[in-house]
Amino acid sequence: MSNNYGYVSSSADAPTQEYKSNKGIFNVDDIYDLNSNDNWTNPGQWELIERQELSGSVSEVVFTNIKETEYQNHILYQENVGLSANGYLYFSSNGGSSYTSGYRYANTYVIFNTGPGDEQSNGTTQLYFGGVGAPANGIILMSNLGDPGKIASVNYQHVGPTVHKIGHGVTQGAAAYNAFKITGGASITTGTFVLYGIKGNL
Amino acid sequence: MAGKLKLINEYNFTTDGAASVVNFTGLTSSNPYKLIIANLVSSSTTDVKPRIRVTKGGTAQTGSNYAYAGYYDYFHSGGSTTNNSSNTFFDMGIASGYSAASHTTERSWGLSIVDIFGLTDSSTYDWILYKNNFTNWQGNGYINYLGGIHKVASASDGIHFFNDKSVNMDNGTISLYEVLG
Repeated sequence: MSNNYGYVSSSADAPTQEYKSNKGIFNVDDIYDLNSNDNWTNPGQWELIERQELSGSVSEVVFTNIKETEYQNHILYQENVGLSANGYLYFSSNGGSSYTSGYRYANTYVIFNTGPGDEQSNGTTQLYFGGVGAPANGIILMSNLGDPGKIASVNYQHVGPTVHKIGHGVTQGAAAYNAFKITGGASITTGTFVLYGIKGNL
Repeated sequence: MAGKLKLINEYNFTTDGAASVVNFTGLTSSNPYKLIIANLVSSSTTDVKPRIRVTKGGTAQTGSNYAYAGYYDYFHSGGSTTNNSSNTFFDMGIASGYSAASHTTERSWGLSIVDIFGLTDSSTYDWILYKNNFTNWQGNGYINYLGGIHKVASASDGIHFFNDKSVNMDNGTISLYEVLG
């Protein structure tokens, strides 16, 4: 980077590209060029990892390049998702060859024309976040996926044609994960899935 | 590529002027939108409940096509659930509203985050998730979490923000972002 962009500071203040210990000052043109090239990063910045738009019915949506060592926190937007049955989330430590089987979750929901309910499990083989009908829209926040010393923690909020649901889930036991998948229990007929990483820690 | 929040429009009730209605129209992107409402106050009226409608052709939609459900709670006592399948707006102050008494320096000011999906899609409903917290008109901390739909499968093009008392808000900011992805 320093071959293309100059610091304002003197050579005595040679740049260091260390988290929270950068030195030197970029000039305005450099900042503009770096930003335009998507090379200007701020802690907390969202970065697009992958966008998957379904063109037909699938049995599952799999993300195997989640850059778990770069991002402690991930955000998955789910837009117009047609889950013919329910919605489940699974994490993998081996790139999607197999998926861990221990999860806990607690969800609470309210149906538009009736009332509330809840669902939970203190030990199950899949993290259940769905069941709001089709199509559905929502956001899933995931933390610690790449940290072998922590459990993965997930928060989610979805709205379907007749119900709104929020919930929280975790994996059982600490492990690092490098992939995850979403299944519908049956097929997923429509939808756009957009995965972001949140850069750095504030 | 950065997945940025792109600021589309912003209304500051202090610098842009006190107002009872704010419209953000002319939206065309198929990306989700995020609305952030901060520090909203009506200094002359109590229990002012914020509300949202979608617009089509720049006109706020007033039919009974808004359905939503969720939860509200207080710092000082328990809350409850709420649901409505045929309202004429999305209610952001289900059980409580803002007031002049809300905005002291000792008390938390409000923050609302509204995620909007499928707004400009002509084949689907409009879908929103919203979370609010503020000090209510009685001086109590208040939160709610809701999700809702506008049950008309045609393209919308904006957000219409108003309140139940039709009074001016004179502090706070409403910011609309497009979620680039």
